[in-house]
Amino acid sequence: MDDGPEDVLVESARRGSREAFVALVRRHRGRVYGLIRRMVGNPVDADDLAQEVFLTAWRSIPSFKGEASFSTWLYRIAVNLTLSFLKRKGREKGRVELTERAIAGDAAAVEGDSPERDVGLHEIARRVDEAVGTLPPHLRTSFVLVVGQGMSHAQAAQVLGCPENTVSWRMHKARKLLRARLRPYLGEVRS
Amino acid sequence: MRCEKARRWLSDDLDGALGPARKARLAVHLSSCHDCRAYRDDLVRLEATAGRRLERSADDWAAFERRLEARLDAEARNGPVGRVLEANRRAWAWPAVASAAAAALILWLALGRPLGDGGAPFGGGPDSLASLIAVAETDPDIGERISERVERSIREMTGGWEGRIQAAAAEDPLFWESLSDEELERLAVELAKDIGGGGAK
Repeated sequence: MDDGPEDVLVESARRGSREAFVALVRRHRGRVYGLIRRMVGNPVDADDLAQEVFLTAWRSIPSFKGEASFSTWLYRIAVNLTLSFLKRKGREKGRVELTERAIAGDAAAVEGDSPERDVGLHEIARRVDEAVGTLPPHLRTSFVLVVGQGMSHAQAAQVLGCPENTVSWRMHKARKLLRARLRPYLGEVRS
Repeated sequence: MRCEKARRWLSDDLDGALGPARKARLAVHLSSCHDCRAYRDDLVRLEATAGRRLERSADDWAAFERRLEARLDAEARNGPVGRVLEANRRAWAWPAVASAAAAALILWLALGRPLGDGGAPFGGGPDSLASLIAVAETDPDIGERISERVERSIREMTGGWEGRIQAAAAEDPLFWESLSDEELERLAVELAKDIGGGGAK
């Protein structure tokens, strides 16, 4: 059943087939987990939230009308639950205030260790993840969907329920902030 | 073209969202602007890391699936609507049982007490249960205290039923949104019965 067309699996799951639903979970769990993991910054919370996403999807699938794709619908649940989680926890992991001085490139406003220190790829990845975690939630969500999950602006806009131009603006803003935050380390990143 | 505009277009271009005409204009700007070329190069490096796959082991996924299956099993046993209804029924059931038990006990002892002997079926002095219940017949405060005592005993026997009431709806932000119209209607009808009318609007 795992190899069946998605619309068939979705319809079976809507009618109560748990086997079909588990097949859908296996197809989408990686992307759902990846999205959440990038949003919350730690694997334990990401795992718990991914579980909640699929439980919520199982409860709600009888009323899934197919107006959007199943993955878009699932992502929407994931984004809403994750944003609720972040709001409930009252934190944004490692968030610092990125002032206009930081955006303008004032080194004094940028926190962190000396960029002259030799850093490995894992350390860079950690810093990038940390920096993404400092973005305001609405910017972080767009960035994670587009860069982390490979969505187009149109797809991300559908998940977020906002105009495509809003996603475009948020991506520009997120990149500007991330570059300001990570500029001292970007020379170490291997493409 | 101003650099701020060019960088906005650059962001769109990285996402494949820039049209051909703007792409051409951007290319002209980049050919003569070192700062914007450096900006583009920094973004490319950043996203090579930010967009990397987050791997999980097969064991991790197997554990994830086992945990989800267990929760789906629990869902199948109780169901979201069933859990809410059961929680509400429990909220009313034990006090109702305790009150009924207390009332039945008082009534049975009152009817069973021999007429005129001034004592209680279980005999004993003024501190006996029968004497207490006899007093409860005429004193509502004592009657209420007896009910509470019976209720507490039942609670002790059942291991604290309040702790098992699941506030599923309160903990799950999407719980109510996930219910269908039929489920909401059924819930409203059942809750109205439980609380004696005037429930859901």
